[in-house]
Amino acid sequence: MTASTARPSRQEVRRLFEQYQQTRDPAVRQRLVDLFNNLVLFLARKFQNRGEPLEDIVQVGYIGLLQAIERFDPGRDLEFSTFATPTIVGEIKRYFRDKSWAVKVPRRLQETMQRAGQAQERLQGRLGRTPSVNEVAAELGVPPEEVLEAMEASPAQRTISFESTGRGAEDEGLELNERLGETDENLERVELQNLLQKAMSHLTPRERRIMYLRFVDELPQAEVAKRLGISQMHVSRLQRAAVEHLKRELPAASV
Amino acid sequence: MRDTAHQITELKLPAREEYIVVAKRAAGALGAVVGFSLAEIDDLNIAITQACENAVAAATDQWGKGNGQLKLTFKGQRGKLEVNITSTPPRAVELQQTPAPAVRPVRRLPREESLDYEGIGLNMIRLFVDELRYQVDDQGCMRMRMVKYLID
Repeated sequence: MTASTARPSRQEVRRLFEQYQQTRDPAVRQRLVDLFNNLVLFLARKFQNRGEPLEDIVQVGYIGLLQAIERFDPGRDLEFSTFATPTIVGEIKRYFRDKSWAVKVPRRLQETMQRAGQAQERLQGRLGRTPSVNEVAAELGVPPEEVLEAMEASPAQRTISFESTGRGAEDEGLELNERLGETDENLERVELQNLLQKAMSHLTPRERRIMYLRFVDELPQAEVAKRLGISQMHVSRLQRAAVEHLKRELPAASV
Repeated sequence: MRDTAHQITELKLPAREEYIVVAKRAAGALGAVVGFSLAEIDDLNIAITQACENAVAAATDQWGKGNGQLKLTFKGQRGKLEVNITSTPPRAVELQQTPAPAVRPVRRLPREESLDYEGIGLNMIRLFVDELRYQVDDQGCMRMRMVKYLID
């Protein structure tokens, strides 16, 4: 990817996107990538100093940029940078979530963070909700500042060992590596799930939470309202808005 | 703080990049007081950092590098944390000014976003907090109000 310092004009961006939509010409796509290099760099730098090299974060950002280029509709009255930012940030967040952070963090903080992760899981099971920092600290017998310090040194990212067992009810007791190697018959569902996950990254944290509570945890609106400390009618409104938002973000064929 | 009335914490910092870490640290600690999870505080930290970068840039444009101040007000309430960030003039300028009217006209930033990093930064903040309001008044002071809700 070559660096570009030129500010793209709206007209040029629009023209290139229209051309790319019609031709799918890789050279046009590359021109678009070059024009938005600086957007990727800008966003990637926000995630610097978390134990991962900037250039790796930038590369992940480019994956998000390419996805955004594929999905952008120049007919919509929307700046490309506005459209692409959630996709690029979502991709970088996913990278950190999936990536080991082990190497460059001081051992004391690594240990605190690992213990905090375990305590968090224990507490989640016990409380039925995500524990607060204070609750994690109390569980570990350390001041909240120490948990925060460990978190600041690196985000709460952990690798999962292939020898560990997962939490799925069907595969209870099986190690992760025992579950690998078979062709998944539900690839289409996976693809759809992937699209949905990307679309979800466009929602606000609150909308995302409502969607998870309603459709993953399958809680009734009244329970969601209680958990969020808002009225049931407000939940209903936010849910409707979130669904509309998702419909706009998902490609037409998948809705 | 899940069951208490709202608490207000104020912080005044020089408008310089190197002080942003202080704001970030305060936000993390106050997020913990409200009851946020680690992931929520991580999100809050990214939003606060970007908001302070915008405020430092606004203060530098208006009063020169390192001359302005950042004022942060954190309001921890049941189930949410509200953060107000304002870029304010240097103390000397502040003292010379006549009292400001109670309600001052504000101008919204233009919505041109072609690699306008201020605009992109704002879009990014919206991914990490639930509410965001952003204004620049006629004296060049930037005001940003963010709210993050406790989701459990």
